[in-house]
Amino acid sequence: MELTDSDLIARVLLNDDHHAFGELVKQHQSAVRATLRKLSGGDEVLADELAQETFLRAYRSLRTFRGTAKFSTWLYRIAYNAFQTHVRRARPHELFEEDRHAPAQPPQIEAVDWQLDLEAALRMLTVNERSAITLCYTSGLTQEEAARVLQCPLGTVKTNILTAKDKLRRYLLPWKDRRLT
Amino acid sequence: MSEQHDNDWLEDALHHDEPYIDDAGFSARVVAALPRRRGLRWARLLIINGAGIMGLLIAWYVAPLQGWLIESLTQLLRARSLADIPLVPVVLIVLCLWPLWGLLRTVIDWRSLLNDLIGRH
Repeated sequence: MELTDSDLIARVLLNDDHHAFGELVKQHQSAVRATLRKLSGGDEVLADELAQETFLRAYRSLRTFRGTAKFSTWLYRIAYNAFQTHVRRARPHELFEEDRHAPAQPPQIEAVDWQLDLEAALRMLTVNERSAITLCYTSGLTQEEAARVLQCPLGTVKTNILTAKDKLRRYLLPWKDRRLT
Repeated sequence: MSEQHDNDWLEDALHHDEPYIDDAGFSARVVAALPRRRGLRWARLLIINGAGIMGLLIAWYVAPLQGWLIESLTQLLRARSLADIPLVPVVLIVLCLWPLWGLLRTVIDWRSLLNDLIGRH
């Protein structure tokens, strides 16, 4: 019988059970790492470092998880915070609100590997647009959940998604009539 | 229809299943990096509270105040108003109950005790 997130969390809190926490990591690692890969523009090494940091932070603050949201949503919030901290440290000049780092050149879209092309196109977006698109599509959150994770108004998430989709539609045009594999 | 397709193709593409990322030792690395378990917590509790009780017992036999203490405790038990309550025995009772409560907690925390004794994670 597979244990639920709640069972595993209870074991970690009651017995400081590392094995139970390991099971939680196994169940959520793919989703968290995929989200961080998208947020970091396809940088797998950075994404895995941030994912490890995410789970360590989650372990340290597990007692603050109240169960009002899904455990995965809570993890995404921590993952996004870790990513945000990284961006602020690595590129302090790059403001989240402004489109300062968007390159003038459109991405090279080969229309061979959807994931690679999507990552290339995502790199063209601002951090806020990329975060909104990633959380709502890669992580499968609702726009309301994404707004809670990003700690911004729902309207901002909706605007960022609309702008991001406009840009992605242009960048990924070669994929328009192709079937994804 | 064409306009609808213009809007939907990206939506469909973005909903394309995200490939599963193989664990490949990631979970093991996270678990290895976790802070050390609160190992032998029961032993710590036992040592600290046991030492407290031992100290009180030694003080009881060594200090030449037994008669006075018994008298104070009797006074405490017979006290009918707050003004009659002697302060020193109250403090002593609290001092005695504290390690006893600690020992009780150690016993209550039997799961941690069992885990440590059988070396299970």
